[in-house]
Amino acid sequence: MNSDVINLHEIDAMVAETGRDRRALIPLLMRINRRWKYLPRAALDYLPAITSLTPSQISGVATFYSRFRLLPAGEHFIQVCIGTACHVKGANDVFQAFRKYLAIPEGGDTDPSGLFTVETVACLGCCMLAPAVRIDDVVYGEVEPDKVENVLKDFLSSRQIADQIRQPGANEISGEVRMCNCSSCAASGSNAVLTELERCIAELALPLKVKEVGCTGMSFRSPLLEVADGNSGKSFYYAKVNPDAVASILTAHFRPQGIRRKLMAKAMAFAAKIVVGSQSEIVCRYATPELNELCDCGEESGQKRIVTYCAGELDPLDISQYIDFNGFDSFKDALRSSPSSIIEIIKSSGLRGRGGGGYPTGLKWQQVAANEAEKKYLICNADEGDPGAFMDRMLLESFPFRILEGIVIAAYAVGATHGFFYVREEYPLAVERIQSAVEHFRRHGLLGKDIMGSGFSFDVEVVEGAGAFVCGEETALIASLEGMRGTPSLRPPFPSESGFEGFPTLVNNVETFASIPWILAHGAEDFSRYGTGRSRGTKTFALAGKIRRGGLIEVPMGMTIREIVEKIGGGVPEGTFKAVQIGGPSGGCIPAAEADTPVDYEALKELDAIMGSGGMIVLDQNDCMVDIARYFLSFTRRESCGKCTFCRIGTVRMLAILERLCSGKGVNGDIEELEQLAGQIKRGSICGLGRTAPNPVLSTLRFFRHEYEAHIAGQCPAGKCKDLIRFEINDDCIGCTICAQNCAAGAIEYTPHRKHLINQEKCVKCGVCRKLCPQHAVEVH
Amino acid sequence: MKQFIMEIDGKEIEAGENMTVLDAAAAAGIEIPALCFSRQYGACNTCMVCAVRDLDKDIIPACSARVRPGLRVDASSPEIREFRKHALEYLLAEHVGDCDAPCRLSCPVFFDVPAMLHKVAANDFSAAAGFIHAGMPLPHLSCMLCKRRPCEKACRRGRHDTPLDIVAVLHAVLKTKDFPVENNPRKYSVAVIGGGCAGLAASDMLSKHDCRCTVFESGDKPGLEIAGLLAPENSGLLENELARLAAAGIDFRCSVKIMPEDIAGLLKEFDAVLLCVGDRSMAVFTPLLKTDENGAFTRLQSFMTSLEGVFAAEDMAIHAGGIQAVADGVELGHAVIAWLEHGRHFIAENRYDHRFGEVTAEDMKQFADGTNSVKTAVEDNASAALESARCLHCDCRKYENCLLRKYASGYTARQIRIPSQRHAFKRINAGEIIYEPGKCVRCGICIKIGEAKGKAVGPVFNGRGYEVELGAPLGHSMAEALEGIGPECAAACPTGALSIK
Repeated sequence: MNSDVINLHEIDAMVAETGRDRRALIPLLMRINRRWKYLPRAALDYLPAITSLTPSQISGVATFYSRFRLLPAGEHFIQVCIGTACHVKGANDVFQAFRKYLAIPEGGDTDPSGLFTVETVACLGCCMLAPAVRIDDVVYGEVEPDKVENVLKDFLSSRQIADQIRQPGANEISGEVRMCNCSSCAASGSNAVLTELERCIAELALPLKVKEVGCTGMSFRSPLLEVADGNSGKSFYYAKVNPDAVASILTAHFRPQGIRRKLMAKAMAFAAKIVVGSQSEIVCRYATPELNELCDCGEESGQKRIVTYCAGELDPLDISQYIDFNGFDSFKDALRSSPSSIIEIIKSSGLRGRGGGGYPTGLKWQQVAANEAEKKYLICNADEGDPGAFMDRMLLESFPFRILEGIVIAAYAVGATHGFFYVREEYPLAVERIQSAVEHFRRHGLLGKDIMGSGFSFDVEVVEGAGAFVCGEETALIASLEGMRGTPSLRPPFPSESGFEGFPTLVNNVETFASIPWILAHGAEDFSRYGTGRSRGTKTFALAGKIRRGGLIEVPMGMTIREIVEKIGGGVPEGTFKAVQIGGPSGGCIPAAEADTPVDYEALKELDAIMGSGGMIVLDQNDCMVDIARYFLSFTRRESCGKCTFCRIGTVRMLAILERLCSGKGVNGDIEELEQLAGQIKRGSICGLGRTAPNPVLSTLRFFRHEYEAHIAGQCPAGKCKDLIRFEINDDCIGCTICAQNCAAGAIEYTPHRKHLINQEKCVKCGVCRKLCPQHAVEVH
Repeated sequence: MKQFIMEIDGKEIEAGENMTVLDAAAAAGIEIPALCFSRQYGACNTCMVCAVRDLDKDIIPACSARVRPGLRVDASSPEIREFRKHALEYLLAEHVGDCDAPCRLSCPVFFDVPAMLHKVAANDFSAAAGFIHAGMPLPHLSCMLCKRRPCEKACRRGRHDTPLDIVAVLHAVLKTKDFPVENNPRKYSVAVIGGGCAGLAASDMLSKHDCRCTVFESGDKPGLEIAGLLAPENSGLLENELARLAAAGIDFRCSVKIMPEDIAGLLKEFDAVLLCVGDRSMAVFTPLLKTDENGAFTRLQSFMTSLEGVFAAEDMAIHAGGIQAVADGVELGHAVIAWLEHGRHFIAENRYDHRFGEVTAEDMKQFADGTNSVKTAVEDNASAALESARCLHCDCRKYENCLLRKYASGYTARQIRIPSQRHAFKRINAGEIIYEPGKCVRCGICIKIGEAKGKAVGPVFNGRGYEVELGAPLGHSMAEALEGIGPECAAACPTGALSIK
């Protein structure tokens, strides 16, 4: 445990970096929180002495944002992602398993030895690897309750292995190995593969260069390795590579130099197995190698790459390569044309806000441009907080230059002088990459004073969000930038009129900005060629859940949900396609019967869903719709800022009813009360969060009312709600004891070679037995 | 300032730029309720009680939504009133506390028991007597006629240790304090037939409200019925009471039996005639007064018979004498005044009463904190003060001027009970201020006051969402946070969350 004794000089140093005014408050608290893993009282008490901040301001902010802890934490943080995809794959059981394994007392979050603090996190953006867990900076994918022990062992042992990366001896490079190491790929083990790659190349002296590239979006295949053979000019893809296979992949393409090394190469593949053998079952990052499976979901499956143009080819931070791919051409053209002509192009392209609202981008730009003011601000909203959405994270990690280029063009068009890049703290790699991209831009004279001799000056500051979903709301985001509690304010006035510190402010989402360079390069007509009705261009989606091929996809607007699920996603792996949750906590569930709905702002709204930022979670017959609604309500209840009466109190009341339903205590009239509350919250809240909070309930009520009715009658048709189900072992049991050995609750009574029995009183319904049973003898009733 | 035309409730209104809908409505004389709005410190737009409907959009908060040319607003339709009622009901569902204390609510004449106790505890006997004079009919007699003492049964202290000796305290006050004698000329004259419980109570009440009363009693002295109800040792109280009534200018005419044929004459002499003769004697008046299909002489609440200006207590007084008749006499008095003053029938205003519900041991601890814990037998002023200091102050300190209660009454809001969600009762001593978090509606006005006064340690919202709570900055006390601004915050607080001790 950290003691409360802290060195106040460290805080002086932090203040020297952040400044002393109100705006410095959140960055300061972030630094203190990171340094001591919580906000020590001594530090908070010291701040008013050396800054202009008051105890009132500090207290209000420190207690508002969820990243700030007020109690000491353990040495390491275990963050269990409870995003939608993780939720449907059992994140809560994983969370409980960690707590149980670490013997964390009721009401606490840290184990008695002070080594680990376990908390939940809204979304790590690794939805295809659900359930995901992050321990400090390591992300583990597909963690199941029974793997908790192994994950912790792996984490503790991996910390002892020194970083062994070596540069390849590269005098005669004859090929390139490309690989993405973004957060989701890292979660599936790409780091280990990368280390192994570097090691093999050095050990075998292969004439190869390793290049980290932006994500292809095919996270379901990660770690994904591309071997580009310089001799043949061909590329080979390897999906789900495990470190054991690296040596054999490399030696299949390239000859090691010298006979001794050839022999070594053979031995290595074997030796590697022994070294990692014990670990290879731990985490799914080492599972099921599918060598040589070529990727087949590029544009031929109907995708169109505009914001993800050149996915998998670009090194995210190689600016010269970006230039080679015609980067900055749009920006240079823009500087030569008038701001109003750029706005005209954006207007005629039909681009609408990709953050969820769908407000026409060109119109917004025009409004900001039209407002005369001595200063104007621009904000890139990268506070992607929807559980189950990771498009922005992927874009930020893979295409930082493209987004920045879009930002600078927009700044020029609206006359902004200063910009903020507001990125959520849960995306450390994104923050890092954007930060370095900004530095690259500054070095190349693309940011700063008198950019490229045009007389136009503009700079961007990267700001980290401290954990509040509501800060995705533009007025709350601005309040947060100003160092205040992130509560939205009534619009009008809109930020375009009075935003940051009262000046006109352009707020656009990451994907919106990322679309700009392409539109200027290819023309508005080319962009608006894609799409349908009032929804033009393409939209990225984070496809995850019960789907074969999840990942970041980009499709032309108007493609139907069925096409996305079946053609791009490869359909539901087992069982039947039941519904798609789209738009996260503001969206709704579209049933399979309505899957021919095109993705189009208006069409989705018709179904009580919204385009949202683009999370798309596929659900199958094992997903309970009441549980999904309960899940989202618990999210909005947690994330409501607490300002408006209806949202603050109404979400709690709706959640209480949903919890009642899920625990079998529902009563007649509950459905009607839910509907009434939903209608009131929708109308009586001032911001988007509150106004859309009831959507998950309304849409599931609309399409799956019978499931609600079944819950009142005491049944969960999907077999998901624990209080309404029982696990039982049938006669297929061969008495192998595997289930009993792995039951964390000790609820299985067994005699070897006899049929086992589940003690219903002890059973916590985690489902581990059912998953492990080789005979599929565990049934849900 | 640019002026333009907008519309509220179908009325065209001239409004100026930068006005809010609330301003524009106020200028047009349309009342919109608002809890979280402070004229001085501006709107917080948190409570949503001021909801109106922009006819081109939907619900907007009137306190902070700006007007614009051509704006059309619905501020009073049943639909919008229903919506406001919902907002109030959301807040009430979270509210912890009673408006009026259980002792007062259980009192048949709704006497403000806690107000008297607080004054006695503070040794201010003259103020205590003032409360009795204003709110208690026949003060020497009523509690003696009220055999079951519901106030003491309801006293919350009784769940903790023993209830307060409320009646003893009241009589201690009566002994020590002479009542103000009001024998001024009065505007109206009223004839009261019958000098029993109801008649005397009605005359007492009416004489405090600008009416000169003449009581016609068939017996040789008034209050014969009462004498029969009193314990022998209390017979002196009746004398006290009659003396007080006479001193207040009530004229007693005894041994006069009023018959139906006398009524017309009385109506010429008096502005109103009250029949308080008891249900058995009412039969005498059947030739004169019509009855309805149930045999009742009067309509409920109006108390007026088929003869204009003639009122009767008879239907209510079926429970015969005692405290219920006293209560009926008071009600009858209200009806008479309503008719005399406003020419209309008495309509009881809807009064919202928030009820605490089940009290837990933790709640009780908070209630009892700071009260005198020793039971004292009431013998004199000093012991009455000590006994009164045992009062838990269950009544809300803002029971008379709470905006939430006012609007809840006006909008006939109900208290929705969600037992699993009831917050614990907390009472925080903050210097001269009492802070009860369970009554806070999270409006933020006091925070604005602190900011405006440049307080570095001021009231602040801690936490987020449902857990948002008004409090002091981390590591500071509420007393520090409210220092220097307490009374202003208490005055601005729309509920009893912040109040003067």
